[in-house]
Amino acid sequence: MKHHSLGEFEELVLLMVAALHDEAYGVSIHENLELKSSKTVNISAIHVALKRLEEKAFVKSRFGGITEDRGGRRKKFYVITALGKRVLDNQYELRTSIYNQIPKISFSR
Amino acid sequence: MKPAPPKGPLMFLRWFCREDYLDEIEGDIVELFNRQYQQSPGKAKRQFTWNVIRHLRLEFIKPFRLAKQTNSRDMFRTYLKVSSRNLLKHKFFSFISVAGLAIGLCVCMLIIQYVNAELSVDRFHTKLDKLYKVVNDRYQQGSRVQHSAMTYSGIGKAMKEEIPEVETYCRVTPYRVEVISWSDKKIADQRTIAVDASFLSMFTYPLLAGDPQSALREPNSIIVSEKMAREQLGVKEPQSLLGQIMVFDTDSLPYKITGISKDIPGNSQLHFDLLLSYVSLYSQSGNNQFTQADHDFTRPSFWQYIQLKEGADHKTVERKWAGLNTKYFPKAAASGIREVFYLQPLEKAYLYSDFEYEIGRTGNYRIVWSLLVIALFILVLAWMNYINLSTARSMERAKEVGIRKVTGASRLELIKQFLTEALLINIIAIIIAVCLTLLLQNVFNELVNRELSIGMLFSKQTANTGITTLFVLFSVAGIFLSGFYPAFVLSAYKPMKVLKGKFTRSVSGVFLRKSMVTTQFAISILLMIGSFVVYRQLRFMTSQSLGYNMEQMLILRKPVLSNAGEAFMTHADGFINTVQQLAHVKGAAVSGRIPGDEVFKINNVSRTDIAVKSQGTMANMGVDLRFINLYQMKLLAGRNFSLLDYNADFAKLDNLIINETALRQLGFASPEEAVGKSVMAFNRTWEIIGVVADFHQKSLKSGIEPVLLLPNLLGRYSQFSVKVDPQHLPETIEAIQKVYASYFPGNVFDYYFLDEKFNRQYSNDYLFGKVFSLFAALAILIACLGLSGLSLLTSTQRTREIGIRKVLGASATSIVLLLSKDFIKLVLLAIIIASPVAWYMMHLWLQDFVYRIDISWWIFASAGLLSLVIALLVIGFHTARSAIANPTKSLRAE
Repeated sequence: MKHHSLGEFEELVLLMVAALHDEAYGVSIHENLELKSSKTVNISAIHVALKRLEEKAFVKSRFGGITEDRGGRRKKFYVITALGKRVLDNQYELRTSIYNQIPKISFSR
Repeated sequence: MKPAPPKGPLMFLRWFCREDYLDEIEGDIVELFNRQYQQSPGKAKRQFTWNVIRHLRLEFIKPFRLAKQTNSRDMFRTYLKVSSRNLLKHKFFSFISVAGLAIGLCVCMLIIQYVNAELSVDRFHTKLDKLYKVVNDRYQQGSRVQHSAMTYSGIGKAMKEEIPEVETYCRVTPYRVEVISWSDKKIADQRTIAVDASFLSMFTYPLLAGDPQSALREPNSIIVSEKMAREQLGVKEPQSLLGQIMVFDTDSLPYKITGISKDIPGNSQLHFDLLLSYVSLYSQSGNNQFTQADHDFTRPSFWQYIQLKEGADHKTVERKWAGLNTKYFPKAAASGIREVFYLQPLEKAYLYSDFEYEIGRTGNYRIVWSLLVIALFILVLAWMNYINLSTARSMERAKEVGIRKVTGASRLELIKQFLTEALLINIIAIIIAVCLTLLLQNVFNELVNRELSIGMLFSKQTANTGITTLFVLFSVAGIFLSGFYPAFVLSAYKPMKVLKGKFTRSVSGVFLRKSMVTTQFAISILLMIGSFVVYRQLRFMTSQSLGYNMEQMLILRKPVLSNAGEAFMTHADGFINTVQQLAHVKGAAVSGRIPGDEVFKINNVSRTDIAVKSQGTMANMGVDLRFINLYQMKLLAGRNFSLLDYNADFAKLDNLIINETALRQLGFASPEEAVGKSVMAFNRTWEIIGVVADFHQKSLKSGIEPVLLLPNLLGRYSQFSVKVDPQHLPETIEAIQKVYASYFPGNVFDYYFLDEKFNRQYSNDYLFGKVFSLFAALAILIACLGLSGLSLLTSTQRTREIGIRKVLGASATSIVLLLSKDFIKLVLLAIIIASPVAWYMMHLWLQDFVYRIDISWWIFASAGLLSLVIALLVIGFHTARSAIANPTKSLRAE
């Protein structure tokens, strides 16, 4: 795979897909992201991020059933792939290792 | 019931969104909508629309994916290749299309430059929307005697005191300095104006050095323009002039330089070399020439500007002032005089002025707008032509289209192909047009007497963004429309029919092409009639008797290095006498004003022998005793001036001569009656010693004014008129120059022919005429190109018919007539359409002139006839060829 890079927003969405495991689709991701970050997020941004993540093979998707609530459209569910999980792990490791390097003295008063 | 999301946005989403994403995207935002609907239906709808708009991204849009699949770049390259081959194959048609478009675009660009320059005048003032010019109409016994851009010095000040909406005022008045001494230099010929201290804060003329707040506060302070500093004073660093002293020769007083103004933009109506502080005019430390200059309501010789407060309406100010008029003109009503003041917005002062005594050159909004319309006409003509030619060629290309379709080209691809071709032609035309514009720039600048360039269209200072945008948008729209129609028509052919050879033309396209030819000819005829009328009017004006003879009249510039008064008088007298002795000089005179000059007026001229009723506002000019004879003016009664009438002291003059209009205004029954009577003028009594026939002081645009001729030879403002024999011009001028140098040493000898200068009053109209006829020619040319394409098409289409007719015994003439008949009908229709429009347009234009021609029927007739003849020639050329052709050839092909 060529693109192993992960943007900040993409990372958030990927985390949310992983966290919502099997219940992750556009609206649920949107709802939970807004809840956690207490910021407004536009749904189109999530769609774009999901498309990119799928292209990079960090997530895979399947269609769910038709529900009345969606005007006769199917849900598209996303799950994280093994590759996606590995990228998240790497990202997490990198961040913690740098975080741990912060000298404690500088903030002790 | 379930809430429904807004229909429009939903349909829009379904239209642009990729099919395979639609489930997810539409589903998600509908679900979001439903959730939000519980809380607030309105917000939910807005949010829905917003979400749809936010999904308008490349990733989600349909055609983009399609384009990716069919490698559009390669296709485009093919289109380009095919198009260029096609253009090269049909060189004649390509040339005509490109030439038509290039000429149209070039003309349009030049005109837009001119229009832009005219519309941008004075637009650089940052307070433009608050600035107004006070202008003044003066009525006497109900009729308007003055319509002046100049007015009284007291008015602005009084307005500020009386009317709260007025923020501040500024007076501007020309000031005659003649000569300035600075270090060891003597400088003549500057434009000097005296202005109030508020000038620099009201108008945007920034200073290079000096404090704009205080620079014009003190008496005897002046501001020098950068241009004058560099060119006339020869200073490299204009800033260094600050604080230096100049001496005005008129009063020998020292003037301190308190500021240097930056270069005045070319699109400023007002130009100056020196700004003199207004207080100098009447303060004790100044020359004290104008004791009344601060609060005068009798002498209209000041331009007045006022600045209104934010949001104030100038009509309110006008109304409020009208109520105050009696306070400031207490005697007016009794003597039958009415003064009306208007506020003219500064942004209209240049283009919309019809006032006397303007501060600078004025433009004419009618000319500007009609040029703009004509330029757009020409462009439309060029595009119509392209459409005509390319659809006319469709016969030849029908086979190409058929084969392409059979081999699998979709209609969309064909349209793309033809659009590419149109684009290619237009791009070539644009490039050629830009080159042509650059080439013709100098010639055009000379024609319109302006400094124009392509860059002006895009520079912030000079451009009128609205016009430039309009032009660009119009061009883009035109390019696409002109490309789209042929593309649409050509791509519609049914391949089976075409390839089987059963192809016949549709009728609808013929109608469109016919109406385009009619439009083209209508526009051409319109322009032709226009140029006929303009030229007839100009001919009329220049051939009209003016009441004097100014042929072969040389005007010598007044000598500036000479003291005014008695010394000048004796000098001038000696000079004239010597010049008159010269061979080939028929006569000479000196006068304050010459024909074509603006002549200033005085109010309150009245008769002494009857009641005050007949007061008049009259122009006055000082002339010498040779003037009337030199200009061959007709003396109706009384006598000419004699030497005894002159005096160096203006206060001691007491004889004058009036013209017929003044005679009528004063109420005399005949010239004989007036001679010997007295009038009051300049607050004293004058005896009328003679009456001259009316003469046109100014162009025939304005009427004849009442004039008082005074034997006034103070000389400071005088000019010499010398009538010469044109046969021996060079040696005569040389001889005059020698005499001039001996009488007025140190002065520049400069001369010009009076009729040239006089006719310059018509320069805007000449420009109008030239551009009009140029455009008429272009329009006819383009229309003929279109016609030639169309007639070529019909004659090739009807080859078989012609062949059969010939075989059956028709003559070539009858065939030409048969084929031309349809087109002649179109041209006749064009004449009928164009004539009333042209009549109305030219009727409007002629309103500018007091003396004007009637628009007679034969102008329409000859324009129509001319276009008919041209059309016949063009059609005849093509039809005759097919009529003469051997019928066996065309029939054998079957």
